[in-house]
Amino acid sequence: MVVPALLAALASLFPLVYLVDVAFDRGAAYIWDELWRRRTFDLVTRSLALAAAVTIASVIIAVPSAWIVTRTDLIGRRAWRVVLALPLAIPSYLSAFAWISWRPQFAGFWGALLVLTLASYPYVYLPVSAAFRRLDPALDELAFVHGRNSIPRLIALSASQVRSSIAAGSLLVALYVLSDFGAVATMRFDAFTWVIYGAYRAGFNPSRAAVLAVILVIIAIVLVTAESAVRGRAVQTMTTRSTDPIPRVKLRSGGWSAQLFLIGVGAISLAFPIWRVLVWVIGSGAEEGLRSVAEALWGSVRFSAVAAAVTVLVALPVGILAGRYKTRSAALIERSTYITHALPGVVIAISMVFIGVRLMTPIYLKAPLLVLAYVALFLPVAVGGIRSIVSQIPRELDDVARSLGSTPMQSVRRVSIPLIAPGIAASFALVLLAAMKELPVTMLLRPTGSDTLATRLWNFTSISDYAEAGPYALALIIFVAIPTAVATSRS
Amino acid sequence: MSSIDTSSTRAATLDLIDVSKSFGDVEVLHDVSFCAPSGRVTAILGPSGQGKTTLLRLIAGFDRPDAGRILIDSVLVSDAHSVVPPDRRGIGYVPQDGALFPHLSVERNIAFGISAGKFKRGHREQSRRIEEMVHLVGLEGLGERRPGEISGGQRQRVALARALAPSPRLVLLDEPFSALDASMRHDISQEVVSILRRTGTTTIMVTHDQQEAMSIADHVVVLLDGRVAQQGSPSEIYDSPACARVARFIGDANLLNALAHDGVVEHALGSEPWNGPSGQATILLRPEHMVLNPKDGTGRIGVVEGRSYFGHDGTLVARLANGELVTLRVPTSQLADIGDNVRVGYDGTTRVLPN
Repeated sequence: MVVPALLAALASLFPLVYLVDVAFDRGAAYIWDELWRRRTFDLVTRSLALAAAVTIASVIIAVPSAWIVTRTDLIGRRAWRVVLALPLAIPSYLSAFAWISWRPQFAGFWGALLVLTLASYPYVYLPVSAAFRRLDPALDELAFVHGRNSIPRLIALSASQVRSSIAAGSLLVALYVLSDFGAVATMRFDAFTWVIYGAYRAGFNPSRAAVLAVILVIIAIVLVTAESAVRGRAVQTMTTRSTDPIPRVKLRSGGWSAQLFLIGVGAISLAFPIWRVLVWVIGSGAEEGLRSVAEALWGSVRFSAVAAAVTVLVALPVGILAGRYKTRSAALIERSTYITHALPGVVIAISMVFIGVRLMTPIYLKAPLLVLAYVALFLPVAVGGIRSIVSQIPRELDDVARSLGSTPMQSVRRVSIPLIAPGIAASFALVLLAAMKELPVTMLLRPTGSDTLATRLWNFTSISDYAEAGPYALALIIFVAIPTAVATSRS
Repeated sequence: MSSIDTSSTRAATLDLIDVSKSFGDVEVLHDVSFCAPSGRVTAILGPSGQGKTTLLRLIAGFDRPDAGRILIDSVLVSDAHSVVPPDRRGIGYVPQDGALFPHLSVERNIAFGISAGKFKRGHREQSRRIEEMVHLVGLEGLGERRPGEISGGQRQRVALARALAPSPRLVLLDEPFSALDASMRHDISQEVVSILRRTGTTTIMVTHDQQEAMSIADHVVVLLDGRVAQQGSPSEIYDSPACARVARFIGDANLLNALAHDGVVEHALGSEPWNGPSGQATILLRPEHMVLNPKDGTGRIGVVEGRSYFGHDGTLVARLANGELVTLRVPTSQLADIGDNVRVGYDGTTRVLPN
């Protein structure tokens, strides 16, 4: 079990090592020059400014939403709880296309801010809702006793109690913004990922792309490390005093403004992109495109399914090891696959291109390399899912099975596998769907001549042909976004 | 209960000889030796975290001892070099919380050991045995339920039925009743043990609850700091504890300083004949052997400092002239008030413990 886990960990670090190697192609002096250039400095500032702005906007949307659905008597709060998490399922490039096709002047910082906020606020909303649910209800009662009962005050009071959860969620949002390719590319905003892609496409100066990618990875690793430290604290400070149902704050007349707020969030994050896609489809004579949509869908499913199967296979030993044995080496192996959380898709894509061009020419622009890149990108998703389900299985079950006459293999077959099968299936589904909507890796590594829904959509929208893009966008919503929403809300 | 098949149970004896086990630098068990008699209930009693579960895991074959030998029916099953794996030992194991398989119904849980693996039986015999076990533990009508749908006490009984289904030679229970509510713990433990006695299975039960051990077991092994401090019948251990720690662990104890010399042991309440060595000693007086204001006018003066009322009786804590505190168990009619001067005597039942 240890050997395959170790191999998986090494494999996920390999692209990073190779990236550093490419960065040094032109020598250390070149790296030094590149680092201190004006344009590099501007790039870092721009990207961080965008990340900061999106993070603040996300907190402003997410914290009140989470408070309303967990701490009040709002009508329909159960439905809202699910709806507010759904934007995670919509690919950022798709909603970016929706906005820019409606008003082209959205391009740039403001458009990127809008789209990324709507795509990533659930990263704050989900942990904060969970924290609010566990918050001591006496807090609200106390606030009432002291006459501090206006809704904004109550929200601020509750929020101050779950600071760590907000911080952890904010770091995830910042990480998401820095890693995202689709939204900034569509909005033509010169953030890290878009510039790295440009540097790679333009002159074929791999060193510059690699240097920028390494800077991005370093920033991302800082964010990931900070996130896991803050998250640990968030769990510790949680109060779990009572299991009584939470006495809910009565909204009375405030109920209307709360409903309006949530409807507004839902309308611009979910309803708007779907409406735009429907407009594209209806406005086009899409009948003849049906065949090529089916082909693109098959392209998406084919590569993604293989990638999901391989990812789950590789993740199994790591997940089992990390979930079952809480030793330091098991944690280390898991942590190393976690690092790839910090590797944006574009970075994995270009490092895989370098590896393909230099080391693995026979499979460059062939299916195996694409699958390999997907595995590197989505391994943490699968490992996390498997680890959490394995850690919930008590070790005594295996002992009991052994005492009842089962050999170790029989015990795995009769006890462990039936118990982790749902987790394996869920991980497979999540990786499959994530790979189907993935853009940069697919774009750079897809086998020559094959297309997927995401690449077709990208090609048509980058030349503003929304009528042609419509069917692909609709297919992405039906076959990827909706299943993703179902899969995540069930797990 | 005549329908219960006990013929196939081959109750075994269990012997441990100088068994030791360390985890890293920490020695959890040190030269543990005892013998569990065939068909009887043996309790391994000790405070939490003193190696009881480790001992059980060694007996079950989940772990390997660092030194020593474990024999079942005089056949070597574990030593430092080789271990007969758990699936070939014929041992029933009931862990702390029952550990039922959550994906299987009550019936499939009970059938687990006889539907596949080493102890597999034919189809017809399987269903007969399952029915028998469901009946034995009194869970008729619950066979289709999932473990999540039954109560804690019922889960514990399913775990027992599952362990007994393959007719094991030996059953190991790890703190089997500690997860249950105090109100039902006594009833369920009595019931489980009566089932085990009915089937005549050799039983090893680990517990930290001395009342549970004393009321259920035929044989008690007291484990302190990973060593066997004493073993024997419950009354032997209660009446003649091997040392002060065992005396205090098993029930309430007054331990008074004493001095042995010239054939007597003198202590704050009197003296006893003694033919052991001279020197400092400790004397054990159980609270129920203390007498308040003896009728013959004997006893030593004390001042009442504490008073507890239990309904059926009560206790007083009195400070003696030399400063030592003693606890007396007395009828409620004799409960004096705090501050009262009393005479403290005893009925002559004492035990001298070596220092």
